[in-house]
Amino acid sequence: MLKFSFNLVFFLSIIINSGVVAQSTPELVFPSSLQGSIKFELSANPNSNKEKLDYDQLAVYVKNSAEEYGSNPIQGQHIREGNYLIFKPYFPFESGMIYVARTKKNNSHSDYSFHSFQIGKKKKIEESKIISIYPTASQLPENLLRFYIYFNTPMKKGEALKHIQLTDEAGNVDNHTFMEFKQELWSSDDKRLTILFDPGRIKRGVTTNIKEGPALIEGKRYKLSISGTWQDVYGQKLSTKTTKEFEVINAYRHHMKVADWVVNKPRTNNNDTLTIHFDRILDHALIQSMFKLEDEENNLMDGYWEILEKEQLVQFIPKYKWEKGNYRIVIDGRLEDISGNNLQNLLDHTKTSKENNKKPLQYIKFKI
Amino acid sequence: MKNLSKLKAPILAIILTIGSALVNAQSIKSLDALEFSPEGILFAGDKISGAIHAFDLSSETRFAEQFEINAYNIDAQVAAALGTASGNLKINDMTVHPISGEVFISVTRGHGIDALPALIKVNAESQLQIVDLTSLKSTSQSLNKLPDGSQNFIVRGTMAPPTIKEIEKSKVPMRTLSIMDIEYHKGEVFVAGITNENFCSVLRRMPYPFTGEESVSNIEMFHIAHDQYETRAPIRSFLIENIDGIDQMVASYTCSPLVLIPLDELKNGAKVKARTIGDMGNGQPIDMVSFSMQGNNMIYVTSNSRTPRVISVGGLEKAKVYTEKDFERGGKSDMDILPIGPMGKPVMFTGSALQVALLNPMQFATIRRDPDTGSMDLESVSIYFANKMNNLHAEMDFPQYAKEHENDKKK
Repeated sequence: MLKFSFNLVFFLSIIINSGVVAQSTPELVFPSSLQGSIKFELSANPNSNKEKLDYDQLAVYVKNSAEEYGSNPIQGQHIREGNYLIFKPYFPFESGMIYVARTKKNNSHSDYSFHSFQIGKKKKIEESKIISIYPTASQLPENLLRFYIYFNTPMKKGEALKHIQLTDEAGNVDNHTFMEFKQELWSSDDKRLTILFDPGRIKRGVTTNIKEGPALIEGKRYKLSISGTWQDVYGQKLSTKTTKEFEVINAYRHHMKVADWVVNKPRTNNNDTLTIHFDRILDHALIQSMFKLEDEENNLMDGYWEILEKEQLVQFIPKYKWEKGNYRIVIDGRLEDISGNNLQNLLDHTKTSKENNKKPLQYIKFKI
Repeated sequence: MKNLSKLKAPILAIILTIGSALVNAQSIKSLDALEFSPEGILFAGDKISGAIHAFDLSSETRFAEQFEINAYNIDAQVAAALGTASGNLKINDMTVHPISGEVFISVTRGHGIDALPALIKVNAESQLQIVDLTSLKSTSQSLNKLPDGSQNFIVRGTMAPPTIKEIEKSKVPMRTLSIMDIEYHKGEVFVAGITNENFCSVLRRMPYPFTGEESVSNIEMFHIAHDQYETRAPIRSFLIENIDGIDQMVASYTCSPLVLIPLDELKNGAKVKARTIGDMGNGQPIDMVSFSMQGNNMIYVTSNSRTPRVISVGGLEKAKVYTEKDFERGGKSDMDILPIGPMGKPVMFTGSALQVALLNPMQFATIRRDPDTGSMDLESVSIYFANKMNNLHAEMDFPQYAKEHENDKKK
């Protein structure tokens, strides 16, 4: 068990100017890292080596938010080396915390002096803003199923639709465009919100579609806006209103087939990228997890995928040069376009269509 | 200047890069539930490394006299000693050394991957010391079937969309409930918590000194307030008492059934049906402490939602066992039939009782949240009246009253 005494009968609460952080001097050397120690030069006194040196000569305190420190110093170990007294805390220093070193020369008449120091910066919360809205294209199909909104910081939940609006060219607000869920659709880090158009407005012949009509009409222009008053979980407002204007084009009503995509093959002994050009805009979130590239022994190829041209193209950037051989791109059959049609089926279909392809995995094979 | 940089022994420097100098970070990753054996062995649950550690503190000496403890703003004091702000500190458990009577507190400094465990001793002068765990003889036993930490709780809103705090609660790994409470009894260590199974509420028992042998029993109980049999939510706090002539566990759950489990039934692999003998009313129990009052065995129970309760152990003898047959279907609350059973009496406690342990035969040590200032104070209080008077002004505080009653004192 550690034993050490506190001879600190006094209870000092000293106001220290905020923002004033002292620099190391030859006399007092502050820690250079979180695991470091603090060194204090004692006055040259031939007898001082025999004295007990502890918190009275060198103590470190945590400075609190009221710019004060309490009666308890940080606990640690005092070590004497030559003319220096070294203090090493039992627990490492913390980044961004402001500490106060209280020092006293080893003759009992001298007064204490105080020096504040800091190691590293406090982790700062990033400002809250919208990073991107998907799909990024400015022409979107009439049966568009969802938007993804990416934020910089985790947002306050349960109020998304109060802040999100869809207006038409004339400035009319449609309050029934999006699905209202008891629980909003957030990613696990709370930074991506999915907003779904009410499928009842998209699917033809369904009651809401007949009663209220489709949410988007081909040939017209619309504006999606997100208010600047929306706060993140830290209480920071987005501060600026974000809008996305788009024009509505033909609905995506035909089957999505890998045969309709254009693949640009790489050359051997080269770092060429492999590109796949789609016949339509694909779902941004799903693209990221539903493509794989394998060699002829079904080994996963090293490299990474990039989404380009407003989600109409993906490219694979290989880590190594291409070798001769057979390759295949493996695509999850659940991959969707932005209208919710996947490689197996259409979202809005009449009973079973002959064109359905129920295979869970689909392939594009090529040889180089 | 140059020779100064060589000052630290290399071995010390290595330890420091991975945590605190006083904790061997490779084996001890957190310090949660605490329990002393009568000989002074301190058992500490470690939810992160998934083990029970036993530290030999048997050489501590007894103080000549009983002492009072008054360590105000204990959270700020501990934080200061650890070089951090009180917002970066979590107090996990508190216990009292059976020989020295000193208070031991397990804490966590920091959050997430930066978190470090520390054991704090508050001595007879109410001074704080960080305990050097590396200087103590220690042994550990790893626990079997622990949740791996990958699965979190679900979001459970109540009639309205979930709040930020409710969502934050769901982001907690289920592993945090793996070790809830520890009791030492006649050469064995008993641990309440959960496993990685679906029927996950368990009691573990293992001999001490540790042999690696561990017996795990699944515990089922009828929950009066929830009107269902439960097998997942763990026992929060428990004690071992002799009831109806046999050693039985007296265990409390969230919202807040009290059950009995005979120790004989805790066999490895057994599915044990606990006997629900009452419900203390809605809320979550924190601590249960055994004490003796005028020769009677009593239990002091604290809750995060209500005032403490004093239960007579004698009152649990031949207690009625409740099942679903005793009630109409539907949830039960404080507004209707709860509390129910021989659950003793709620007693006065100013502020909130966060931690309680028996300091000596006449006093509890409590960590209390002051109702006026919100400060967290470690204090000793009488077992008969576990209160300080600083938050109340009564008739007896008036100077006129004192004067009128001067003569009473003389008599």
